[in-house]
Amino acid sequence: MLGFGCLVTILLTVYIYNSSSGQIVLEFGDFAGSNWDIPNWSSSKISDEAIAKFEAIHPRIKIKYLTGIPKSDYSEWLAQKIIKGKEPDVFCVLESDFNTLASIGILKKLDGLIQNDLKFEMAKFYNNAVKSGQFSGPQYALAREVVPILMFVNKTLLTKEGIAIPRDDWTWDDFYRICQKVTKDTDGDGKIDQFGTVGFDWHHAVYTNGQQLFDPYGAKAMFDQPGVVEAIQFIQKLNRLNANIRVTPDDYDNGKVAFRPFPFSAYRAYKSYPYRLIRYAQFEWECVKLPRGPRGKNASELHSFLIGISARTKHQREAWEFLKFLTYDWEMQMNILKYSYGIPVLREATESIEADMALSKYTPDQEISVDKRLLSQVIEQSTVTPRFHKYDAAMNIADNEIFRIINDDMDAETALRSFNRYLGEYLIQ
Amino acid sequence: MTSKQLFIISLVVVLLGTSFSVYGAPKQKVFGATMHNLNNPFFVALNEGIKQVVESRGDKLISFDPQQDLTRQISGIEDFVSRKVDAIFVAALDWKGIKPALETAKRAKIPVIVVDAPVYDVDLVATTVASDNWQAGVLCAEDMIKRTGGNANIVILHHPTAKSAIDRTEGFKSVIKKYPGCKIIAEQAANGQLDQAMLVMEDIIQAHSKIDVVMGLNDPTAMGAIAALESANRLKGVLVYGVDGSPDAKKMIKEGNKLTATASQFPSQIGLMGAEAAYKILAGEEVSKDIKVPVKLIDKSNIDQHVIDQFE
Repeated sequence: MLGFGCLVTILLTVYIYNSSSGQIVLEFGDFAGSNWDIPNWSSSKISDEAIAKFEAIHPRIKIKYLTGIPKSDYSEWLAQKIIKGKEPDVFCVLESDFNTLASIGILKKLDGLIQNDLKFEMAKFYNNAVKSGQFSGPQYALAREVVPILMFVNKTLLTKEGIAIPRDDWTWDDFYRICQKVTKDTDGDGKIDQFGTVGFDWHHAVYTNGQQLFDPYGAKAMFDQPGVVEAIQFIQKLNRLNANIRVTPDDYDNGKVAFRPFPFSAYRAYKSYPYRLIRYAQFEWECVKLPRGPRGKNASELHSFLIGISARTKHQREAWEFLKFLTYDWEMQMNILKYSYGIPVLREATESIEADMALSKYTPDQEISVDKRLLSQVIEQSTVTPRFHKYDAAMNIADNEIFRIINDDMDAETALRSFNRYLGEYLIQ
Repeated sequence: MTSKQLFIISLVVVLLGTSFSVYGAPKQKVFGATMHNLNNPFFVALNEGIKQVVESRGDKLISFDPQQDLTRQISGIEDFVSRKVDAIFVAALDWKGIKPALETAKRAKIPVIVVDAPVYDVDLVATTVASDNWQAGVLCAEDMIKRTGGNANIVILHHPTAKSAIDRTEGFKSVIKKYPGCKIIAEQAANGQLDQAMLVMEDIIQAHSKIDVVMGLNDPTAMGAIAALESANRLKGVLVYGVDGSPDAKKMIKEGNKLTATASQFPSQIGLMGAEAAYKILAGEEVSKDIKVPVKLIDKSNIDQHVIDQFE
């Protein structure tokens, strides 16, 4: 009896304490490892430090950090949580899941929270970073970091061939001329063994030609536009240089290819110690902007690391404070440069003097290997692909069909016209 | 649950490309696996080895990456227990500190199969499948003695809580103690992490003007040390040893003189053997409590006999 009385007293004390202190527990869901699929031994430090600092500023809020699920299993983990009605209050959203999660109402619309928060200025973000969290208009997520695509150049190979590194405003014609010049049989066995490019695919061609493949709401396919036709024709022309030999990423790694598009995160990781030891150590390389088509700019697709709030959270205000802290706090943004290989979404952070120091750390002779204004320009010139419900499925269909058009060297204009009709019907089904 | 909610859930499941496998088919076995850090290719290969066996039987493996944090690893194991998995695979970050999690699993009658990194409380686990880590250290030391004649200033980068690393370091020391000309000038924790190894090695380079040998507890550690030595222009003439036989390490041995040798492990094999042991245990069969997998030294002299681009 005495024991029961003690238990009741303890429970009552705990209840009163919690009620008076008003402590709120927010769950934050994140995956383990790098979002950019490169080795990163300190990827959880960004969140660990953010949580510690946020809790210190907001003693009433406790963050329960749910991490450890590998990126490859994260979608399933999140889906299972949603099924049970137990998704975290705030969670990271893989780019490939964003359209689905926004379309089914799991992600909270943030527009009201943004407008009512006088301490939050959306204008400080890169415009394209903002767009990457929008779905058919409203804001459903905020980007914490972004990564554009750049062109890796094998300097050793170009120097050997007497070719200068392309300027940042180079065109498809410049690109083609260099590819044509370097594609050759170097060992005299009658087979081509040195190539112009690997990985510059039809997506890069379309985006560097300034084209969009769908209207913003996913109601209309635009694969029959002249700019898209030009892009596919350009890829066909590049492929013909290789005389049916399949060029692989290993060929680039082995120094046999002049150009390969890569995300900026790979540049940051492999240009500096310690990872420069592991990749592309056997030749000198640099990166430049992608070549532009006749209608486009020197930029391709932009990738984002997105974070959103559950539409079912019971702690909307606190969740917003935490999301804002993760994406908008200066120190947290500088930690992107310290612990990740992405780029901060706040323009001022990317262009700061501190960013110089972070970007030049562990590069030989502390060289500043990245022109920050150029980086900002690439981010803003990149393409944020349209966000609508059927986007991923439509792109899968397009990948298969365009692979066939390119591989069979079909007449691009006719084939794309026909394909566009088919895809248009799929979109309105 | 409303029909709208059901609709949403169906969409989530279908559209995120997932299945009900974890909570679905009643006869499906579910396993949990937690390694040190899935950024380390060695543990990725080990995890894949387990997955290969588990999925070939139509069962399910849930992986949990503690990202080098013991508290997280313990929570991960507790989560496996609360999900009532059939068995748990563990590469312990701390061979003694992992005990509370092992006790939780034991109380829930869930067998624990230790892979790669042994635990102190062996009575709490069903079996241990690991490389002959002591021998890995011995092989590196013997090779180093051959190359230096037993006179060297040695740096050891270790992981003081992981038993696999402790054994490698002790195996290495067991050889060099016979050579008075071998001096350990620095011995510091790098915890098997490439970035950390580089930072630790930078400090050691500052403090010591003559370094002849670096013994890394694994390949990422050896590469972190090489990165620090190379960026300080001090790599020339230094013998660097690792353990793992990772593709990156083998490539480095083949292409240049940066990494002297690696004691090759066979993570896929450890994973396969661990998973097969788990099925035997669940079937009530006897399994040896300690299964050792041999290691092999790879250096420039025999690199061409090995597959470079994957673990063996």
